[in-house]
Amino acid sequence: MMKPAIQALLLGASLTLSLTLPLQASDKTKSTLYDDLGGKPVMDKVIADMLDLALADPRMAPIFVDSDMERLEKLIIIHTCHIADGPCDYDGQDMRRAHDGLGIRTLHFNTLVENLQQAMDDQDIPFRTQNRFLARLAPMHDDVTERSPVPPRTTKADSYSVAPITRMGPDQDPETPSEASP
Amino acid sequence: MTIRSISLDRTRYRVVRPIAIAINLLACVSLSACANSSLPSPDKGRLLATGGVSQVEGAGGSGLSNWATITGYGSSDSYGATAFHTRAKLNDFDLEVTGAAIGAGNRVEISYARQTFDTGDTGPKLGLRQGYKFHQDIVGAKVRVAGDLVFDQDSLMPQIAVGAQFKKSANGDLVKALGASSHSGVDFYATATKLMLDKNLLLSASLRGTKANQLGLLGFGGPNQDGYSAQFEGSAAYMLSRDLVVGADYRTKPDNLAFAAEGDAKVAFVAWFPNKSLSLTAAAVDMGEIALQGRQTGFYGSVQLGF
Repeated sequence: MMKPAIQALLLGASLTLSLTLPLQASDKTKSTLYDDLGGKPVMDKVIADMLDLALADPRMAPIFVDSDMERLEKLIIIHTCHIADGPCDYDGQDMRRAHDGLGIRTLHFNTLVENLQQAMDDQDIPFRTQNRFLARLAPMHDDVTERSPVPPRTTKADSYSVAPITRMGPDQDPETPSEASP
Repeated sequence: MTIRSISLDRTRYRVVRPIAIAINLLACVSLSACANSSLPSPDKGRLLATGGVSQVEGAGGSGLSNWATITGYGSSDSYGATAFHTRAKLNDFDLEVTGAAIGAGNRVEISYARQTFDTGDTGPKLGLRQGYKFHQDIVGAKVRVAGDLVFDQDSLMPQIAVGAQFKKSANGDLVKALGASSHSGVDFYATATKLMLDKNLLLSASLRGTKANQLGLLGFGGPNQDGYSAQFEGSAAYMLSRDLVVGADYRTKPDNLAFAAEGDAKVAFVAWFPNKSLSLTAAAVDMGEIALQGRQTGFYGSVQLGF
């Protein structure tokens, strides 16, 4: 009866070793998610491509109507680098204030996710790594999106999705930046 | 705007908006007023595969298992609809399910399914005529009560839904002759579904209060047990890529009838989501023992159209 128990212990020990050793190794090299995504050269390209795709996406483009795209790109590059444990300190506004009044809905949030996925595919970032990154971005949804208590007023009876964009017109402060820093 | 009023607005939005969308949809369907009404087209504003497929009773989920997800791809501002057909070939029987469902505001799901259980050549062994078919109609309602499958990635919070399935067998006299107490019944359930995006893994667990014999195809209640019993159904699914998911379901069933034992059911599936308008599922299934014919294993295929 002892033999199976010892075997089980040995098996358990070797499993524990084989599980912990690679972890320790990766701890030493300190590979961050940002590194796994390809680091700065890849991620700068990913963010630039994502915004290009978003601007060309009919579901998305109106969101950026009043945005300074160059500035926005820089901010998103720094912010995403920070989120992925890269060597960047994001000192921009908090997300809720930065997106206040832009009329961003879940549709827009998810569309940008799809644009990002496409951009990451184009850089051959592995699916698993993509999802580790998306998992860090996902909780932003509640801060970035707006939820009005009543259906948005709309001149077009065509689509809920268009509504928040048309609503932006008269209501919006023309100075509202897209993702402002102090 | 104060924080308090924002949170009030959000609560009101979460409750009022899906109801408004649902009423709009109902008015559209019942009055056939879609063409010139203000009903917008679905936004398909959720991510690929996050609506699941159609489970055996027509609700959003996987093969045997009801998920807390709302069918289709409608975001909280919109709605979505799905239609599906599933065909299972078991050792001694065939099961077909056809149905459709609407998801409103990523909050409420209304579903309908018709199950056809074909006894084929096995019919005469059971004292039925050759090719005798059992039918069942199922109307389901599901409400998401907490959590978000995709966005709650910084906590363990799952998406949680509660619901009911109203089931009615079309073979009332026969299922009663087989020992069932009733030809209709209502299942109640609560479901929690957790997506761990960084691990590409989805887990779902559901508790169902039910009297159904073989999903309700053989009626409800019986000599062994006439009341509700709590049954479990669960899934694990792994995303191989954005459009390809493999997984397994396990579902326990009551054993109410005296004439034949009823066992647990299991499924191993692969589901492909080429786009938001189509998904295809292929699966190996073990439905457990059915009607004295031993364990019923086999395969099924399911196609779901998304609107």
